[in-house]
Amino acid sequence: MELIDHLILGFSVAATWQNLLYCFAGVLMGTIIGVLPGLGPVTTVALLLPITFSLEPTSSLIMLAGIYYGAQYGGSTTAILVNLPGESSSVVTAIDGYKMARMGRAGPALGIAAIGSFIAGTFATFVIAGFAPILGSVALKFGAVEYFSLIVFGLVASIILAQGSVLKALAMVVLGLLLGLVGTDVTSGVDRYTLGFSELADGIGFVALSMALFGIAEVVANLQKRDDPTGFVSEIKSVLPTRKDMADSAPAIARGTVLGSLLGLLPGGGALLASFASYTLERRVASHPRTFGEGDIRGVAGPEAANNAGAQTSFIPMITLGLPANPVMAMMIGAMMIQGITPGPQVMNTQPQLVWGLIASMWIGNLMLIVLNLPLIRLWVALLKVRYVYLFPAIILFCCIGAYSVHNSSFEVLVMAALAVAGFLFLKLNCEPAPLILGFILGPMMEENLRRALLISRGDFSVFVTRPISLSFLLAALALLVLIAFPTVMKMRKEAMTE
Amino acid sequence: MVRNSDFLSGLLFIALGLAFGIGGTAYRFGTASNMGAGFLPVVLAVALGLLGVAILIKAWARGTVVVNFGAIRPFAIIIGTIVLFALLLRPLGFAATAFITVFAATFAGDHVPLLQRVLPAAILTVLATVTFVNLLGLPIPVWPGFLG
Repeated sequence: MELIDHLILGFSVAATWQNLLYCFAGVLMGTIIGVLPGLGPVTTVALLLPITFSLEPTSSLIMLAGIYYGAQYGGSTTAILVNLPGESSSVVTAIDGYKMARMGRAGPALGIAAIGSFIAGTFATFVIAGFAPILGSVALKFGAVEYFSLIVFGLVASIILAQGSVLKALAMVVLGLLLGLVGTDVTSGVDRYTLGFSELADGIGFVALSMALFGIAEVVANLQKRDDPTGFVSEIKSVLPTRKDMADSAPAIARGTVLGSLLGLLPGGGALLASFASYTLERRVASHPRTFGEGDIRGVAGPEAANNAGAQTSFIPMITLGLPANPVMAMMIGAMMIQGITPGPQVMNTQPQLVWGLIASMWIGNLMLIVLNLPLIRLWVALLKVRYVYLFPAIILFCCIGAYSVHNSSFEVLVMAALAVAGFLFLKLNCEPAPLILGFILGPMMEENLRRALLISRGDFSVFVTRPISLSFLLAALALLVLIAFPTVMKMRKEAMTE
Repeated sequence: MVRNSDFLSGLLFIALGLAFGIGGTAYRFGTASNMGAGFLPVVLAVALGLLGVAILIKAWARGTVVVNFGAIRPFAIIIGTIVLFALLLRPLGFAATAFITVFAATFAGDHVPLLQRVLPAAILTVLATVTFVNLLGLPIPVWPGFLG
């Protein structure tokens, strides 16, 4: 069995002392930072990204992945205990989770979130192991034409989940693509948009950009609100759910896991869509749906499982195609490129130990999460009481150090300051930064593939619609655009966002 | 004057589209089969400008919602702090820069007694120095150059 061989290879890589340690450190740090109020998974990963640079590629990706699930779980903890979802994917968890906490059942809510996430994570690991090689081998047959169309599809898909105006999200994607083109053009050697700074020849720093948009702009916005985001923190007695809780949650976890695994595959989908969809599904299939919103444990179990499964399967497009499904995956790709690995379908063949080590470490990471969280929950509660007055200067310092450490250059820190001004403007103008980040990562890939495709076709644009795979990606992208523009879909999307 | 967030973002995207577009004309455009460095930038810049126009028109039709940019003080202080970090790091070394950065950043928040600015700054400086310089090996001198 090929699957078994792959998993054995993966575990032999992931279970070395060194990698176990990095996985553990990632999960621990991710949870610690993710629990802090006001810091969602994206910000957490952006903040901790530079720490992984000094490691060798496999360890650094294993650690980053650990940071990601840690941060996800930390975000759920914050949502349940203080009703402060750090990211949109934990918004749903906060609905019933916080109600449970107010009823004195914070423990079981946290417990079921951890158990549900673990079950979902285990299932999703197998989905990845089974599915990734198939998709990877298909992707190997993709030429420049197919790749270009796939990138277009991925970018369009990322717009669906952006909050607010579709036009603005599209504009942000295009702006991201343009920013991605800054620096030396590989083909002609011309420096583009460097404004005379030789430091910009390598392009705008990814770390500086993501920290500016997701770290600093966020801090400024929080400070302007002038209310300390910390508040009432519930007491915890036992984290173990009762037998009835388990019986109630089991089907919800199962449904959430499957739903999340599927939705995570969609570019732009991932965790957010999964948790909303699972909540809606649970409310629909429940025999007493009225208890939802009033502290129903199924409303925590289903979405938490779905969100974790989705977060995990969103690695599939990243591993097999080199395409990021969400900003966190964009950061993983950024980290790979800094490590000197070109993301794409060839990575599965040229670096099997990296890919399979990463996949195996996901399961180990999920196990560590449950082992870590059930006993340490009281520590997280203490962290939740850290006041923002002490927190935000630390975030600023981390961002500065992070930006500096990429090339050991102060220039990068200044670039970050300039991008933070832009990030602040975008925030105030309700322009979502997530599509911009995806565009930024995909800009150079898009140009390269477009160039190659048209070089081979001698400038004939019809190749994009005469090759079947390419045509189907473009049609899918078009269908998505029509769907978004269609009023009823717009209304549903709005409802899901405001819920 | 219509001042809503869509209106202003429309203007912003048009301005950026123009800037990238005009900048892009400096590079060879080329043909479809032999693309120059300016091809995709110019195409994307035009798209960005057109999207900006579309956003602007939609916003014009909708009327006024005033954008609240909020207090400017926290924003200015945070950006200033980051610039300060960039400028001070080489001459002053890591420890002093970290301390000044955190201390300066606290002024972006609510008013707190001086001790509550100095103490967190000191603690964070020690923690960050140990983590980043000692453990992670960030190649930056801890102390100012003129002392060593």
